[in-house]
Amino acid sequence: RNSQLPISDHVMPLDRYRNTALVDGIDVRALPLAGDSPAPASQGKQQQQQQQHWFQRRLVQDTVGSGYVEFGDTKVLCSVHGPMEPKRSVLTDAGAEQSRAQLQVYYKLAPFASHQAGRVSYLPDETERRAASFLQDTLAPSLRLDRLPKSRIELHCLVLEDAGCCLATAVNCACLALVDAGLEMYDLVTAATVCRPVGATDWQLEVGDGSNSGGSSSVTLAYMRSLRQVAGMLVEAAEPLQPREVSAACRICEDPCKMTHSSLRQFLLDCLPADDRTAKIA
Amino acid sequence: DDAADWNLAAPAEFAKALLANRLRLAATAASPSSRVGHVTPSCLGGAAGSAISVLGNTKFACGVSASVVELSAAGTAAAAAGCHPLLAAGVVLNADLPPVCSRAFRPGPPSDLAQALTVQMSDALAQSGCLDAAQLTVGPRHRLQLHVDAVCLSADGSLPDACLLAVSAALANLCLPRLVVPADAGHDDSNSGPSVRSTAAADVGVRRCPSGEQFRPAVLRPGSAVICTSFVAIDNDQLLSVPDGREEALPGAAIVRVFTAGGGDLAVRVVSVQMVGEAASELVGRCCREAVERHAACLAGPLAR
Repeated sequence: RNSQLPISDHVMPLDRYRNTALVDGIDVRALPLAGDSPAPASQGKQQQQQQQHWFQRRLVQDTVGSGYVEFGDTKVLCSVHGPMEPKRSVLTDAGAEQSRAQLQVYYKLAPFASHQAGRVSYLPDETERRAASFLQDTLAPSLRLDRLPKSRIELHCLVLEDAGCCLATAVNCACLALVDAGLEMYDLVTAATVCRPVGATDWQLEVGDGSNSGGSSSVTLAYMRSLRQVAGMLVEAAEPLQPREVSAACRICEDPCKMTHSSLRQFLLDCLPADDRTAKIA
Repeated sequence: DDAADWNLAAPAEFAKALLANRLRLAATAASPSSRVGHVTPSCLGGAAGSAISVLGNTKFACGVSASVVELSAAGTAAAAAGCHPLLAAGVVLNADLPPVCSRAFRPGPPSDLAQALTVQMSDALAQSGCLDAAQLTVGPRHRLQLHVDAVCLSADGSLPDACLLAVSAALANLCLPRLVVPADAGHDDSNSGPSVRSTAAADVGVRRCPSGEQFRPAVLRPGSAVICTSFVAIDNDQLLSVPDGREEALPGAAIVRVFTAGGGDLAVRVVSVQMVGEAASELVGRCCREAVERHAACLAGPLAR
């Protein structure tokens, strides 16, 4: 049925397996205001310096492990599949391929997730592929992949609402899903994001209410608190940053990462049966 | 452990033994309220209308995005010819089953089940008679176009049931910024939809009202909804309503899906019945009656406005 849709001059159907609009339109949020009025002052919430994470696990039935995290208005759902048959590749060393599990991460925004950019396409774009690559590089060092030779683990991440600090929330959610799946880890990985709006000189902690997302530069830091090691860092800037600027951003991210680590650890302890709560997570 | 082993080795006999003792393992079998489901409306800020439905272990998130399209008479006729009535009315509906919801779905193009689900949803909405396309009119040359995206968060049977529950709730909670269209010469404003106020602005094109006023177009007629109720018929004798994944996969069982529409000023009626397998006509009639009862319960429960 979908292939029988007439192709008009206004539509370039890139996705042939789904229903597409007959005519491309303009998102109502992107329409200008009537009467050349300036955009009204943001009536969003006051920036909350102490936003808390809300964790939930075992939301998805048919998976090994799953996690759901809300940080302000940002909502992320992750699920873990595996261990399963590894993918064969002629480019990798067969010995190395079989001695450790392969971790594969998929990251996708729901079509209605974005607060700013309008409807998100079902086809993954460069931003989502970069985020998936960052998640994979960040989480792989924290997992005991050597304990699962000749296997593959898939992590699927779905962002239901992106109101800021999305990538850091995805890291926290992915860590929760991996723990729920029972995979051995060296430490919990938690993340935070700082951003610097256009024209500003100081870094601000990005919150999940859309008040300060979309700045000119941002730094996302993933941190393992117990090991005191940085698991990953992603710098996105319109212009090159000085090393001291990046260092300053990392120092600001460290405390929120530690607080999130404590919250996540306490949530996982509370999930244990009462008899097992005396065993502490390393 | 013995029960789990028995279920693994002979699921059909295990299910029959449970049914003989009036037992079911489905999460939706616990109580009538669980068979009706639960809906959380307006929970996703990125969408103009949104809802998350929970039916047992099956969860769907639905978001509605709106855009404004400029129509020309020739373009409208050419585009509407031969396409689905829902698309012609300006509603683009897609149901997605991403890998996050189940191990059965892989990354990449939508699976056959996802495409079939999209077609089922589109047909049910188009044939329901509950859609009011006139609410999408914005002035004489523009129209709202709705993108309805239903994403599965957890798949455990009765997917059309949970999907339509979320879609109905999201359409009922649609909230858009009020739009302003400049008045054309000789244009009669009395036929404009309730979402339009005309001005004498020199420029053409739709604008947002500067006061930030919002309105709720009644795309679904007030008090109405489109609901699906799934049944599994075993041995033409026993009927399981709102089955979970294991019950749907029972060998030799027939799956009956009844689509109902109505509510408010519209009488509740059966829109269509889809069947996989064979079931006696008496059993199908019983399914239709129970589906109509469940429709009324949904309107009074999770979809109550």
